[in-house]
Amino acid sequence: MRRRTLLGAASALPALPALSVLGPLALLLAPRSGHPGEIIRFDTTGRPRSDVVLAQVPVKAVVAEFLDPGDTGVGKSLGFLVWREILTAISDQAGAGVILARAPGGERLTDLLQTAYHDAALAIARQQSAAMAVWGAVEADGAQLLVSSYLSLLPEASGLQFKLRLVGEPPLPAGLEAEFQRTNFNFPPVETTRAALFERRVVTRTSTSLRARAEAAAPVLARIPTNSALDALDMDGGWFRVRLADGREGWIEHAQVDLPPHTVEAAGTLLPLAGAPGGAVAQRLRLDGRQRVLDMRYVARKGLFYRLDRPGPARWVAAHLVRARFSLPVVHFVAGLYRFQFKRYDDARREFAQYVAARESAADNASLATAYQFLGASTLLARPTVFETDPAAIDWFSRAVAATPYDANAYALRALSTLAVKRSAAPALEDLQQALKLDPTDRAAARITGVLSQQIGRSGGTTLQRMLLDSGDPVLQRRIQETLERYPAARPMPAASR
Amino acid sequence: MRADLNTVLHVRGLAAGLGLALLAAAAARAEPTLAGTVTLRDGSPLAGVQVLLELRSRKPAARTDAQGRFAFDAATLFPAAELNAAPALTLVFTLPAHHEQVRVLRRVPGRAPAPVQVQLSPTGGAAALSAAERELLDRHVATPGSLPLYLVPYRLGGVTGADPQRVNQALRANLERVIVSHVQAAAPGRSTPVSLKLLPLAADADSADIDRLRTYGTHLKALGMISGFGEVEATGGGERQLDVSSTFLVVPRAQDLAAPVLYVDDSMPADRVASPLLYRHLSKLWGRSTVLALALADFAQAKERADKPALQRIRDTLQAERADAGPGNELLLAQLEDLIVRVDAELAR
Repeated sequence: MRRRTLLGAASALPALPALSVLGPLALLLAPRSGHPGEIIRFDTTGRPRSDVVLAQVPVKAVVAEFLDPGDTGVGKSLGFLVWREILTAISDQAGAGVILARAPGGERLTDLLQTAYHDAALAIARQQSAAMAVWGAVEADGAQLLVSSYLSLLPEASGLQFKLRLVGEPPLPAGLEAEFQRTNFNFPPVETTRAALFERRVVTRTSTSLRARAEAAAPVLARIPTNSALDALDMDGGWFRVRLADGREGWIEHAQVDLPPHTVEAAGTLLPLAGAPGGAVAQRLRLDGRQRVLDMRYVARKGLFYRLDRPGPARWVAAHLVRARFSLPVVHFVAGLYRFQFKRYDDARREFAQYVAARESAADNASLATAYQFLGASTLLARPTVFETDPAAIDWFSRAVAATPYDANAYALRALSTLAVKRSAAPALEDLQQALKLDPTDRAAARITGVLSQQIGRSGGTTLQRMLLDSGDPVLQRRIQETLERYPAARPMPAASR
Repeated sequence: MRADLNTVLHVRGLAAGLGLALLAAAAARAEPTLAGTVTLRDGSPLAGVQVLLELRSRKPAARTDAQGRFAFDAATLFPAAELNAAPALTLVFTLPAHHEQVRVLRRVPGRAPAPVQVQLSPTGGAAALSAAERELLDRHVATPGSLPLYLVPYRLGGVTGADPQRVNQALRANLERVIVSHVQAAAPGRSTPVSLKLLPLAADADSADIDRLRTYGTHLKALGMISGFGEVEATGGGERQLDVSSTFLVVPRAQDLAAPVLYVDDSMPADRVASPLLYRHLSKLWGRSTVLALALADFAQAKERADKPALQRIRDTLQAERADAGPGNELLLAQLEDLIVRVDAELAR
């Protein structure tokens, strides 16, 4: 009801300021989505290479084989796993691709690279014009595995940069924007086990061979048809050990299978369940908590569907109605960035919500703060105009401020959300002042303060003035002027020199 | 005497945040008391050492007496709610003309922390190197343009289930990874690569001797020296526990600016001594210490050359490091702030 009222009020105004994200997004509507690619060689020299994979795909990530200094044997497998899980998470995303970079055959990356590992992962990502590089390491502590994961964004190689910007029609003044400044993320280590990682369902992409050993030359035990959901028991390098329904066991190569998430979470809402992927609704069921996933199917033009572990006949649910839970939080973070870049804000919100809900995520406050910021931005941008913004967005930006209270960027981003949600400059100014106090040269805070100084308490009836409820406040105008005196970087430049 | 000096801390389990223990006076009437002794290396007591306790802010807690002893009740310094919520318990020891020392206390749930034993060393008292030491160090000295960290292998007394050499090799690889990735996050695209090299000392060398490590680090032109030592202790329940103390010594100085020696105390089951357990709570602290060490080294150079672009890069790095800090990091912030102020002063020149 409230939304409608606000929209009604909005439609009476000539200006409908909206929110948008900047990014050189050339969305190629490829017929197939979620492209996989693979580079088998790990060239550390940084020499230019001609073998660019997925050259036509605009937004790519490179996942590097995970380091395995203690020889747990899972480093290679984890690279495959993370690569495939990210692909599942973005499987209905046109224009997105993920590339795995790994050492050839049985060679171990740790032996090839020693210390220059991160640089090598970045160099490969640059050569591939990828926007993101994911890498990691695994160690064993008895039966426990400790998996560390890392993410670097490469705006200079890909042109992809994340910004939150207020735009309007008629236009809002330029400069109401802030970048997401962090580009490197050190995710907290995840404690897990082989079983938790590899005992799962896999679904064959094509008709494939079940082999006696984890190698391409091993004897074929059986042919498995396309779209068979199998129980995986373990992994060895790039091979899954699987068990068929008749009890036979053998090995299948990773490239032949898709990896559904272990579980999906439902939030107690009424879910339409179908008897077949993309089929007619057979049942509406209120589901809560975690549901095991048995099968997964991508249906052209309809999207991705999961088969849930329910008693009775098969029950399929559309992936966007539930929240998938992947093995490592980094998968959700990366998937959220893809979704955000492609303006799929509801999907982005779901992924970042899964990231912040993961038990481990609290252990690194910087990556947590960024996830909250993307959650807030996705919440804002999921609605088309600022006249129907979700007040919850400010709360997410506030959590980011609480996690990183010394980060000027966190305050600048919250200031933007306050302008949009509260349509009031006074609380935004407090955040801008705090940002400038932390860093008197903070560009975003300076820029936004400068824009406000030219509009608050002035006449003119601009879009921003009509949007802000306190735009005529002379007291606020004085406070802004005081801020400018204190922080010269915030003084707007004369129009001529812009 | 010892009994009443002992702490009465109730601990509630592992914390997020810094990854250090939650100090939690969970019981309503808990009176957290901290105690210990401060001496010189030869064991002679140091009187008048200022002891500060840091939670969300840093407060003077006690001074040592003529026997070098101190004891104080943390509950008189901080409200119970703040003590309960504190992600870390940090003690700072300062005495004029001595190197400042910081002790981060991590506690095992259900174990009362033992009194803290601290050794301070006088500034300017650089030890001379013997010919044998010089020869050993010269084999490891940093190549021009590189700024390595050195890991002096951990001495682990009483550990039988693990091969110390393997443990130290894995520790080197893992610490290097967490430190490098931390530095990358604060200073993306930094040209000087950070590396961590093993520095095996002679069997009779005392890796717990901070003065000696400082002298070694200076000779090696190191960015920092990392070492640790541990002893297996039998706990009340008949279990064997490894109490281990890890040290990070920042070598570069910029005039009067120096980073304090940082100690982190931890413990783990003696039969599970493995690299992940040894470094699990150090990643961030060691990463930050490295960023600080790099900034100190760069600052000294940039100041000398009045290199403003370099000063601006140092400022950006320090600013990024501070931006990533969580709440309640007074120690780190004070160090970063100090340096940012100096850099700004040079930039304004």
